[in-house]
Amino acid sequence: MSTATRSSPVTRIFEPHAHMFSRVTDDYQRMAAAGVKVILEPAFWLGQPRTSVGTFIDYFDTLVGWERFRAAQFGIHHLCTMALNPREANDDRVNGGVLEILPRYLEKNSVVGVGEIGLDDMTEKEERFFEAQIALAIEHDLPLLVHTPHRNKVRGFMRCLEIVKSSGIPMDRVLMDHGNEETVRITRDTGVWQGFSIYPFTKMEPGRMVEILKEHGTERMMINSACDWGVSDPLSVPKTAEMMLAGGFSEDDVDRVVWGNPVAFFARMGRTSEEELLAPPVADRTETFGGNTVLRGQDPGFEDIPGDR
Amino acid sequence: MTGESGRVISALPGGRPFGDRSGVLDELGQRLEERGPGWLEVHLPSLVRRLGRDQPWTQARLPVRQGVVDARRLRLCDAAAAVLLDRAMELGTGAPWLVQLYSRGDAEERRMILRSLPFVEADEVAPVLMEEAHRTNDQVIFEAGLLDSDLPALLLDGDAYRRAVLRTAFLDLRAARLLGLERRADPELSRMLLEFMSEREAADRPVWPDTLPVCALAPVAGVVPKVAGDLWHGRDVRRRQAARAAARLQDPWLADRIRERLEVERDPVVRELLEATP
Repeated sequence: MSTATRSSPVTRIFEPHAHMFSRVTDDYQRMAAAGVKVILEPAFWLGQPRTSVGTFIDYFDTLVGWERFRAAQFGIHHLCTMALNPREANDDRVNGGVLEILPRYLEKNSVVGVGEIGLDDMTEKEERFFEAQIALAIEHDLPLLVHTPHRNKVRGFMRCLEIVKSSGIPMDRVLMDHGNEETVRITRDTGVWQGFSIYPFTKMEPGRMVEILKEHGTERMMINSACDWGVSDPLSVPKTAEMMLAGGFSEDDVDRVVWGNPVAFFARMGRTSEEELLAPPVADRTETFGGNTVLRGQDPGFEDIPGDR
Repeated sequence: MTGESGRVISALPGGRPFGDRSGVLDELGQRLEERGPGWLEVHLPSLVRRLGRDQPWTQARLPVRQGVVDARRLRLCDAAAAVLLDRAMELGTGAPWLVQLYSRGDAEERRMILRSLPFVEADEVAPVLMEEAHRTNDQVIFEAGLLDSDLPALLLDGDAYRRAVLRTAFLDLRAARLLGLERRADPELSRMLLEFMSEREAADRPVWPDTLPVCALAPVAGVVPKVAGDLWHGRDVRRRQAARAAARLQDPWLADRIRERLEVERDPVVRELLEATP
């Protein structure tokens, strides 16, 4: 199956779940070429346990610093969600300390949600830190990105939903990720948004995703690659979009799933806007837009000469 | 805003520099007064979305505290940050607090803090922050810390300043943005830039266009022959820069080369530069 190209009708993609920290710069190139304009990177674990809060600080700083610059080199806006992930919520070396430093990150401009929070092994500690971070999301007016277990999926989904409902957070501020054919039947009528990770072998495949969309529609549905350091494909979203078109979905339907829905969900609380995300992620707009192009030094010794460069 | 932090606002052009955002800034200032600098530590990022990234000023050389800034590069959120950071330091944090704030900041916060440095009383920590900006691979942060004001020229030691100029060349940013460069250029800088020029030429890669005019500020062996050679370069931009350098050097031997070139030069910009050279 070919990837989306510039001749494809799929010209704008918001990838709502990609762990670019674990990906090489070539992936940014390929994603940009396939039409990805925005990447959202949820804070997560790093493959092996961290042993101090300082490593979380450095990791969080990367998500709001270097990764944004790296993505911008390819014309991609980089956003993120911040959280203590469910797996490391079980680790007393870091769990409390990370909760203490989270609030200041939740006010950063590129942080558009709290996540990935939720359950992994479904322990008591995981639930406690899940609830605490939902409270932070409410306090900071941010939506949730909920990681649901990869084992005991249905039971995990239902328990996550129970916890979310009991918190009082509006359901339309909640994205339940890593869904499948069974979980979509649980969440469809709850008002939450549903994410599906097109991730080889362990999660979802493009063909199955198309069938889910055919059966349940495109309202409040998102797809992502969840690409990380495992065997995963950062082009899962454009590939699935192409498969949707081949499967009879209209361009508007595809645009809704790969652009409109993630924009609507993550931009709703005002940290970003569709207008901002459609514009190039340049740093100094006077370099690009026509409003003030005459940036010349006054020192005659270094005055720019028209036509130079 | 009460207190001497009115000095930041008074330095900005216009009677009401923040225009219709003045009310927003006043409100933020009020929260700072009520809740203290700890509030700003969390809410500094919000200045970007509350004040915006517009760059409304047109002054290329705006006098500030002890130097000048290119106000055209200043965003509303940068100027607002200068106002609030100045007030926070007055409230008792002192300048070292800025270093901690910087270390905890995202790219936008760091940029705002760096753009604030020419406006606020933080010279004791400014070189540290400029060095941090230099070390980053994020070009936007480098520009915010080292370009568009003469504060680096005023405060950095020789080694740090030369490295900043070399990095500017490496990133292909213009020398015109190194305000105060003419005061800090020295023979060692010229040697570094000539070596960099040779390295690029050997790799058949573009040369920083401002190399020779900068070297002409403090010429060393090799500058005059390079200028003469570039007067005959195939690319207009190279000849223009060579002409600019020649005007600065005013070397008698070079004067003969200029006369030779004028006999065949067709580019009007180069001709004008060469004809104006004494």
